[in-house]
Amino acid sequence: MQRAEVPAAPLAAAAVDEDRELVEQARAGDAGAFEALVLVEQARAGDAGAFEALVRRYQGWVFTLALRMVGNRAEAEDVAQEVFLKAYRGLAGFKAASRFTTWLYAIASHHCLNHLQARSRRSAPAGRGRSHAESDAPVAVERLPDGAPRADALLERTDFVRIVQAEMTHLTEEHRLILVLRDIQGLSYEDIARTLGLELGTVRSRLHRARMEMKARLTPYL
Amino acid sequence: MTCDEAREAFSDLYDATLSGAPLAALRRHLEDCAACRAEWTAFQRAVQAVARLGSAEPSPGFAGRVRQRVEAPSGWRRLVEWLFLPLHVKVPIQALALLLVAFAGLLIYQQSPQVRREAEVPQSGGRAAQEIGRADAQKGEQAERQALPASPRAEPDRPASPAREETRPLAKSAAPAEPRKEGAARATATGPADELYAAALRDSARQEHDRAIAEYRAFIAQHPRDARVPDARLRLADAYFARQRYAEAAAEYESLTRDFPDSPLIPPALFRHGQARLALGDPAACGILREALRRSPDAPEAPEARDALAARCP
Ligand SMILES: [Zn+2]
Repeated sequence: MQRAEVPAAPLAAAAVDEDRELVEQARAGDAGAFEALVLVEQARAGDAGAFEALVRRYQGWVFTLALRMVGNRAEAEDVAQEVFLKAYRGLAGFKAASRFTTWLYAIASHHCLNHLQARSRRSAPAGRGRSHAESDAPVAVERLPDGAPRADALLERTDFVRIVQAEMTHLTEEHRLILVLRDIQGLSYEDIARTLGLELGTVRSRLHRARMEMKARLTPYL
Repeated sequence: MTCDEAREAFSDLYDATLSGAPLAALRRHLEDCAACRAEWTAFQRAVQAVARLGSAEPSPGFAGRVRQRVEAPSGWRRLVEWLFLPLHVKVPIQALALLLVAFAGLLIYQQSPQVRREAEVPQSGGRAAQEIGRADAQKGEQAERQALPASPRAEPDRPASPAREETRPLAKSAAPAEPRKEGAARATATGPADELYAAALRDSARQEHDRAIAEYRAFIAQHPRDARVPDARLRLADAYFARQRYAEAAAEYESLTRDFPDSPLIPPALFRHGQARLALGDPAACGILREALRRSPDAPEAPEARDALAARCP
C-alpha cells in the first residue's frame, strides 16, 4: 500500500478525527434527540427524505451492532437494512413519549438475535454461530463514513481486532449482545435494561459473565 | 472479602458503580491479593480490547438503498396495508362499499326475475364494490407518492462560486480513465459516484490538492443528492485551505454552514471558516471563532481558536 508512505494532509487528518467524532455521537445516540423526533414525525407523514435522513443518522449505530453481532460486513449490512425496514413499518407504533433511540435499538437488538438464531438453525451441525463468522474472517477494520479505509496505523492493529472479534463469536448471542451494547455502543445499564426489556440486576450479572468470559478467552493474547 | 467475591465485583468496579464500604473492601483485597490483582488487570484489558473494536459505517449509499426499499413496496403489500388501514379511514370506504352493494343488488333484483327468486345478489355486488375500493386505494397511493417532495435535499447550485471554471477540465481528470493501482486495491467503488469520491479522498490524502479540488467539485456537481455531499464540501473547503486559497475556502465553509445548518460537520466548518478569514485578515474571523467556541467548546480545534482569539481579536 503506497498510502503508508504519503503523509496525510493535516487538514485531511483532522477531518478523519471529526468523522470519528460523528460516529461517536451517533453511537451515544442522544445527539439531537429532538431533531430525530422531528424527522420521525415527517417520516411518519410519508416523507421518504426524512426517513432517509433518519437512516443516515443511525446507520452507524445499527450497522456497528450488526457487524459486531454477525462478524462480517456483508451480512451485517443486510441485517442493518432489515432493521430499518422493520423500523419503517413500525413507525406508526412508535410513541413519541419514549426515546426514539431506545425504540430503534430494541428493534435492532432483537432483530440481530432473531437473525443469529435463524442462522444457527440453518447450519446447526457446524456448532453455534462460530464456523460462519470465522470462515468469513471478520474484517473489523473501521471505515470512514464514506467507506474509505482508515489510516494505516489502524491496519497494524487488525490482527488483534480480528482475534477479539473472533473470540466474541464464541459467546452466547445474549452475552455478545450485552457486551456490544455496553462496551462498544456505550449504553448505560438502564438503557440496556429498557432496550432489552430486562431487570437491571439481570443486565448487571449477564454483562459481568460476558466480560469474564472474554477475559478468559483473551488472556492468552493480552 | 473472598477472591470470588472480589472478582464478582469487577464489573461494578470497572463501571464505577461501587462506593463506600464495598469499594474500600475491594480495594483492600486487591492490594493484598496478587492473584486478584492480575485478574483485575486482565479483566480491564479484555474489556478495553472489546471497546476498541469500535464503531463502523455501512458502505456508501446505504441510506439511499434503504429508502429505495421503503419507497417501492410490492403491489400486494400496498394492498395488504390498505386492507389494514386504521378503522376511522376504512369506515367511510366500507360504508360506500355497502351502499354500492345495496345499489347493485337493487339493480340486479329489478332487472332479473330469476335472481329475484334465488337471491344470490350480495356476492357479486360485493366483489364489484371491492374492486372499486381497490382502485380507489391505488389512486390514493399514487397521489400520496406524487405528494412526496421530489428532491427534499436537492442542493442549490452555486453559480457565485469563484472557481467555477474548474469544473470542466476536472470532469476529464476525474473520470477514472487511467488505471489506478492503489485505488483498485482498495476499491469499494461500485459506481461512478463512489469511484469519483474515492479518487478525491485518495488525492486529498496524497496532498494532491488541485486534483482533489477538481474531483470534489465534479462529485458535488454530478451527484448533488448524494449523502456525502456535505462531507465533500467540507473536504473541498479543506483542500482550498491547504492550497492557501483562503477566499475560496472561506466561501465554501460559509456556504456549507448556510446550506446544512444541522449537519454535524458544522462545528469543524465554523472553526476552519474562522481560520480562513483570519488568514485573509478579515475582522469577521473573530465573531466566527467566538461562535464556533460557543457551540463546541470542547472541539479539537477549540484550543487553537482560543489562541487565535487571544492574539488577534482585541
Ligand atoms: Zn483474591
